[in-house]
Amino acid sequence: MQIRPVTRRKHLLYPLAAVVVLSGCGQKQRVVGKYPATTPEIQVESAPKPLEGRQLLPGRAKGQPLPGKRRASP
Amino acid sequence: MRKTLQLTLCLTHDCTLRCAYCYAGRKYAHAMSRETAELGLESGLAEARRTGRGVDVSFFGGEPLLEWDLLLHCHEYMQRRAADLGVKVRYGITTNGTLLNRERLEWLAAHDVLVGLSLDGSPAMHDANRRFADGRGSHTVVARALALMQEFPALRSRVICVVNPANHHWLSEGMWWLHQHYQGVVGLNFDYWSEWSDAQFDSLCLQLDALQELMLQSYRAGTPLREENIEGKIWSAFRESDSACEHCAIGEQELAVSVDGHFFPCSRMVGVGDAPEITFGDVHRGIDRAKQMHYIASRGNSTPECRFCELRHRCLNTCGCTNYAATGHINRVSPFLCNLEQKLIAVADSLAETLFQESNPAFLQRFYPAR
Repeated sequence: MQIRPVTRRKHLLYPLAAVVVLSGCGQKQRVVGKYPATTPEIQVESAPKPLEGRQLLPGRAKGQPLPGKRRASP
Repeated sequence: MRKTLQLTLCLTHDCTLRCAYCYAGRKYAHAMSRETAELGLESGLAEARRTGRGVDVSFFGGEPLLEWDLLLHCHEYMQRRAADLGVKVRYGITTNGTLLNRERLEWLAAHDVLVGLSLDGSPAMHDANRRFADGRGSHTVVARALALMQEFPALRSRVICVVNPANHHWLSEGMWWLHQHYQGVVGLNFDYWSEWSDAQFDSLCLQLDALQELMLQSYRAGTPLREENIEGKIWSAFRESDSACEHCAIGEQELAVSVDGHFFPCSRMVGVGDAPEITFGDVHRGIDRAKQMHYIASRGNSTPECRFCELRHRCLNTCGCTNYAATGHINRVSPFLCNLEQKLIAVADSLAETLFQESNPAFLQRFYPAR
């Protein structure tokens, strides 16, 4: 017997149901199978939470202060 | 990475059986003292607290049920100390079943102890290796224990079935016997200590093909035959991107205490006395951190051929005790492991593809549960 590394990846005919966490965006995606087809369909399991109080409001240019917020006096 | 420390206590080196493949060596009546057991539990608690983990305490041997009173003492001691320290603990026992009775099973079920019963399938497969000291086969006695276990629905259990060159011819027959007599999960433990010839390996592959067919039929009948290795290979396809060390955290999350109090890095490596090449401290001196770091630094797989293998993330190539058993190094893979893992992955993928394409309800429920 010898060690026999596998150099060619086999295409699996069953879809992967793993829950994967994508780095950086905090979204979880769950890959589920569409029955009886074998093409995986990716569904977003949980959307990223909105950044409350820090969202850009419509019509506000980037870098401008939030409405109602005052600059600190010197 | 697991969130618990696997703490194994070898309560005794004695055993009621003389299994031909036992890696624990010659049997003799030598039990762990209460002091050693308590110090071993304290070592596990200290290590768990240091690393922020819970503890899985496993009672091992020899045959741990020979030391039933010591087991009860360890449980009571650990419950009290873990509550004091706020450490979460679970328990398990690996037994040959010859000393299981109703009273003990009641206690094990009531205290949520996971029972791992060593039973190698059918009478022919089991008795090929697992015999009493007087040469009698033990299957009849252990099968009775298996039946008794199932009278306790609350009991958590699994069956461990060892496969070696002497009994592998009966593998599919043995698994079918287990399927007829047990509804839980079976784990095949392949014997990496033995030499497997090419002819024996080819014969093992035929048995695994037959097992695949049995599993297929069982799923189609709606009563799946559940085997840990093959199910694990299906899950491994799902988790392919995980780190290669998922299988093994030798030296870090495993602490096995021998009868005389020496620390071994895994329960499957426990021997007798101080074995300086593998022990790393004892219950009196504590963990030898330099040797522990050596284990952590050298674990994994350094076999050059494996580096670019497409199956390396689905393979047991990082299991330290398996590598040690076969090659004498925790990070060197044996040809038997390589060939066996490829066969198990092929069996698992073929089974999963067929069952998926058939939209088998039991398969989908197990591997694609409804959200």
